[in-house]
Amino acid sequence: MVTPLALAEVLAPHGAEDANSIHDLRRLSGGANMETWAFDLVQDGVAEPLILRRSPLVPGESGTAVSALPLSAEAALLPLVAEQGVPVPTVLCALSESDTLGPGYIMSRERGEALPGRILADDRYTAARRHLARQCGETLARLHRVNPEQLPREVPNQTLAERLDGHQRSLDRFGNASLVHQLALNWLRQHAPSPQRHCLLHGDFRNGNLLVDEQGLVAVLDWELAHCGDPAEDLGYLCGNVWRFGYSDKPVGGFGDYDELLAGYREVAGWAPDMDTIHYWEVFCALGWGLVCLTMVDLYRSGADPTLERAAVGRRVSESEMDLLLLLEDRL
Amino acid sequence: MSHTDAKELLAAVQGFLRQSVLPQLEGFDAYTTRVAANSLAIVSREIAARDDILELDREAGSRWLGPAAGASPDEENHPAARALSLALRDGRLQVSGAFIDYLRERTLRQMAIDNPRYSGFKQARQRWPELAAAAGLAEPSNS
Repeated sequence: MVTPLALAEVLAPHGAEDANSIHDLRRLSGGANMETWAFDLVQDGVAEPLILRRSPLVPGESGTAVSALPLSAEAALLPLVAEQGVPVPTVLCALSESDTLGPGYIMSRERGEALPGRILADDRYTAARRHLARQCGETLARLHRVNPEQLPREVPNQTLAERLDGHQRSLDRFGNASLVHQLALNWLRQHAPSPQRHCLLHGDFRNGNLLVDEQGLVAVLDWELAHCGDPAEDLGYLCGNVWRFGYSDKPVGGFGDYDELLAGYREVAGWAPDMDTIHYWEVFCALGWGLVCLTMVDLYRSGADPTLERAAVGRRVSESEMDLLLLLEDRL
Repeated sequence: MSHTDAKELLAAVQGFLRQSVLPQLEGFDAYTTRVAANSLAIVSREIAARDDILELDREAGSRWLGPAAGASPDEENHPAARALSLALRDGRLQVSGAFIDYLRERTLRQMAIDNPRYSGFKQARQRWPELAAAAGLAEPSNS
């Protein structure tokens, strides 16, 4: 249970005295596979805004579509990307499985908006929307510079062929119910690019995991799907239709255009992927989203997580199928 | 007067959730209650349209895999779709234009049940107007 007392205990080294040091504790909605709580640590009348991120479930077994990084590894990753100039929250303390609240970690709560609906529609983000695609390109180029040898050992490092094999196993495990997913996987096998580069990827870099203020990008959140791979993957993923939240005519997250994203990336990295490769990873993203939905159904059916949210996401499988058919038009 | 039918009960519970429960909630509970009401709306649409998808799958199964793949008509788990999917995986099925059209029509119909407000649904109906019309899902021309 997440209580003020439990938080005060783990934050004792940071000055928490008792349950009264923890103010305004509340669970934030959004984030289907992770608990996120906001609260303030109050010392001498000064409130420090904090976030607790925890996963009460046992991490998914290997071979599932969603192989989330243990939160301890996520906590270790943030300082590494911060060193490269990627804006991320500051980690205060990591919580192991033996802690009452663990596994998880506590970090600074940055000011900004992460809800895609508001970022894409509110007038106060009009200027931010103009800069965001370019800022995303610059930020991705910086995070792709992290030295792979410094990464926590839990960060997955598979070849594309291995990941496609994993996707086939997932389709088999989930009962081969989707013809469109199989068609798309066959296409991904036949059209796999031979990557020239291999580096750390965020793995879930999209509208919804970006904290934004009136000027643009404030912080990159939710690093649980970080892994190593082709840098073009992070760029194509950001352009997946599912992450445009209805603003399909703005391919980058519903807020920007391809050329802005690629220009930002090129400026920092000195190169940028071509559009065919971006398209390939958009297809990969759409299939991945379908498998995430099916994984949620599996968690629901197995009883591991009997919440309505999980059951309902199962009906978003057809969104991935629709996106795949649209993406593959004239390319089959 | 007959008893309340399934669709009426679903509509009544949706109305209760949206009009009586939701105004009293906020945050995570309000969000989940909206998901609950949406889920019941999906069930209502599925009751009306599921048989058409099963029929489409049966036709596709017998067209591309032979009559035996049509399977029993009351089976709920889309056996023909699964048989076709395995054939596709194992390279036993040649992907033709007609086969792609079947996938498009099937997905249009499924999308109409699951989330007719999805952006891709609108795009697909514009790109494949004949298939959408055949499925009774044409976009209103004045939209």
